[in-house]
Amino acid sequence: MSAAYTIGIEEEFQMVDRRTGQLSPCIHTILEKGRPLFGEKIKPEIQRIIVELVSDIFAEMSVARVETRDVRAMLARLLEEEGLALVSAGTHPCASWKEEMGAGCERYAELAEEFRDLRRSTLFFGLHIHIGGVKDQEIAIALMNQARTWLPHLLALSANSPFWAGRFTGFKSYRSVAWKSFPRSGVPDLFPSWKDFDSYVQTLIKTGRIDNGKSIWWDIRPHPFLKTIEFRVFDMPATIEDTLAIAALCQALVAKLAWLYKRNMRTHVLARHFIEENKWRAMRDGLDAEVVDFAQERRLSMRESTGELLDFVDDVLDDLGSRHEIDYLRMLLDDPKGTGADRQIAVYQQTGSVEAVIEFLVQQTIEGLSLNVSLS
Amino acid sequence: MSAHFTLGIEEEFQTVDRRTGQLTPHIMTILEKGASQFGDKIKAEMLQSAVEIVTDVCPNIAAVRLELQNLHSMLLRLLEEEGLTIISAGTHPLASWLDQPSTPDERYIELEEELQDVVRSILIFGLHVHVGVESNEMAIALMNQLRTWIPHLLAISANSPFWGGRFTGLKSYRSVIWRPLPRNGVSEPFASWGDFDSYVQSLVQAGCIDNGKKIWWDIRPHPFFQTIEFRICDMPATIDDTIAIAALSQALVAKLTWLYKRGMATHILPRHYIDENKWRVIRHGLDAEIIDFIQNQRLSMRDAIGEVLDFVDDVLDDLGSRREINYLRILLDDPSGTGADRQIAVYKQTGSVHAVTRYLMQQTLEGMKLNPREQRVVS
Repeated sequence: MSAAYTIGIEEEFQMVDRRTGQLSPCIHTILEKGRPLFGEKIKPEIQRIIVELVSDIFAEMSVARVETRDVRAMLARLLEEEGLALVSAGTHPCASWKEEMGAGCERYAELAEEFRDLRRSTLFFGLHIHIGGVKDQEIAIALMNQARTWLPHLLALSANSPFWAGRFTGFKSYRSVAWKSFPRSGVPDLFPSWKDFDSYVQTLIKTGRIDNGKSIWWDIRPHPFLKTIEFRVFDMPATIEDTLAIAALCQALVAKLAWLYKRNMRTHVLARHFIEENKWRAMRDGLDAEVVDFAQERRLSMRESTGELLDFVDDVLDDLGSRHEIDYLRMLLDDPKGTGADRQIAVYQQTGSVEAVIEFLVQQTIEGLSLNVSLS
Repeated sequence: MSAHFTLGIEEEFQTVDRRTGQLTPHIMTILEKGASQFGDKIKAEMLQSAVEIVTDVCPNIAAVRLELQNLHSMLLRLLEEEGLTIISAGTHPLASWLDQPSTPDERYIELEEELQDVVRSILIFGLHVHVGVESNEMAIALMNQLRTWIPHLLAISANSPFWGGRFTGLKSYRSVIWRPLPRNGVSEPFASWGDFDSYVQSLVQAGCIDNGKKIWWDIRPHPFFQTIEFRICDMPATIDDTIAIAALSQALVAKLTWLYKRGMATHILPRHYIDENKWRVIRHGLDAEIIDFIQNQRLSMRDAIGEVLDFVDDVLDDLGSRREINYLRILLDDPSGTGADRQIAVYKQTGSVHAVTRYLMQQTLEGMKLNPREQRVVS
C-alpha cells in the first residue's frame, strides 16, 4: 500500500538579506549558481524574492525526510554564500511590497495587468503538498470533496503569518486573509462529479478567463497536469519537521479516504459555507480556535478536533511508514509553545522587535539541519 | 402590485473637512446634534468618519427621491455648521485606515475583537437597498436568481478606484477590501427558506453568529424586515445614481415575483461563475467583458445591463420608475462612465489624488442638486 500514495512537496521560501533581514529580490543569481547543484528542483516564482523548492516524487516519508533535509541545507548554504538567508513563514513580518520584487518575470506581467494594485498584497508564501496515486479522476473529486472538511485543521497546524507590514494583525495566518482578496481562492465548492469539475474548468478556458487549471488557486485542487491531489492551504510552517509532518498527514488522509471509498464508505461532506466558518476561526486563532463539527452539531477545541483527525488516519500509518511524523503532530498539539505563529508572537512580546522575529524565523527555518546560519 | 415592492435605502457617507477634503471623524457630535431632526434616520458606523442615512419604508421610487432629498439637505446644513461636508464614494482616495478611530459602541468593540485587522481596515462606504417581499419562501427563490446580477449592479455603482493615496487600477477597490470578511460575497443558492433558516440556526447554535445580521452577503434576506437587501454597491457618484440603482433593484424583484407567480424562474448560477463576472467588474467596471454562463457567450457589461433593463421593462409602468431606468440607459451610453471612471479621469488630467478628493466633494454636492440658497462654494 505504501507505494500507492506518493508525496511531492513545493516550498516557497523567502530570501532575506542576512544583515538587514529585508526581502531580497535575488532569484536570478540563485538560479544561476544553483542550477548545477539543484537542477530542476529550484524554480522562480512570481515574486523575485521567492525561491521555490520542488521536491522529487517520494514513495514514502522516510525518503522524503532525508532528501528534503539535505536539499534545504544545501540551499541555505548557497544563500549564505550570497549574503542571504532562507525564511520559512507565511508572510514577512515587516516587508512592504516594491515593484522590483516582481519585475523581470514573464508571468508577472500578466499578473500585474490582471490584478493591478492587488499584486501588492501578494507577499505571502505557501507550502503545497501533492499526493499522487489516485488514478481515477472520479475518485479524486470524491476524496477532495471530503478532504475539504479538514482544511481548517491543516491550516491551523501550519499557521505562521501573524505579522503584515510591521503590524500584529490579530490573526495567526494573515496569509490566508490576504488570499481571500483573490478570485478562485479559498475553500472550493462541492463538485458532484469529475465531469462537473472539468466542465467548470473548460468553460473558464473557452471563455478566456484562464489558460488552464493552474489559475484555480483553491486550498485543495486536482492538479491539472500532475494527476495529484494538491493541498495548498498551508502557510510555510516554522520548521522542516512541521513541513514533513504536514506532508505525512496529507498522505494519510488521502490514503484513509481512498480506503473507505473502496469499501463504499465516505465521511460527511460539508457545504463550503460551513467549512469557511471553521477556516475563519483557524485563520484567526490557529490551534487555539474553537471549531464546530457541523455534522454532529457540537463544538470542540481545534486541538481536540485535530486529535480526532489523527485518530481517524491512525490505521493507515504503519503501511505508509509515517507514524513518526504523526506522533510529532500529537506532540505539537500538546506543546504550549504552539505553532510558528504562536512562537513569532511570543518573540515579539518578549523583545518588542520585528528584527528579532525575523532572526528567530531564520533560525527556525534551519533548525535541526547541519549548518549554522544567523543574521550578522 | 406596487404596494408590495416597498423600498428602504441606507447610505454610508464620508464626513470630510470642507476646506481640505480630509476624512474627519465626527459622528458622535453629529448624532448628538442631529438627534431631534433625524430621529433614527441617522446612524453611526464602525469608523467615526462615516455617517449613515436611513430612509423610511417608501411605497415607491418617487417617495424615495423626496425622502433622500430632504434628508440630504438636512445633513448638509448640520455638517456645514461643523465645518464639514460629505463625499459619496466607495473609498476615500487619501485616507489610511491606520489613522481612523472607531466608534466607541459595544457592538463595534465586539466586532473588532472578533474580526481584528480585517474589520479595522474596512474604511469603505456602501449603499444598501431594501426591497419588500411577500413571503420568506419567495425571498429565497428570488435571492437565488438575483445573485446573477450582482456583477451588473456593482458595475453601475463602481466608485472606488483609489485607496491610501494610490490609484489601484481597479474600479471598485471597496469590493476587494470587503472580501476577507467571513460570510460575505456571493452566497450559494438555497433549496428553500427552510434550508436557509436551518443554515442560520446551525450558525447560531454553533456560536458563530447571534442572528442573521452577521451574514454579510451581497444579497441577503434581511433577518428582521421581510425584505431582500442588496448590499453590493459602492456609494455611487450622485443621488440620481442611487435612486436609479434602487429602482433597478425594485424592478428586478417585481419582475421575478411576476414570473414566480406564473411558475417561472430565471436560471440559477453556482457561486463560482458569478464570482468570475464579479471579479471582471471589480477590475473593469462598466468596461468589463463578462460571461453569460448559460449561453456560454462573452458579452460586454454594457450589453448585459441593456438586456437586464429590457428584461424588467414590462414592470416599470406599474412601479412608476421608467424615468429612473431611462437614466441607466443614458449612463450606459455616457462616455464619462461611472463614478470610478470620472475619478480616474480627474486623476489622469491632474496627476493628483488631492484633486480627485476635491472633485468628489464637488460632485457629491452637485449631485444633490442643492438649492442655490443652500449651496456653498468649496475651494
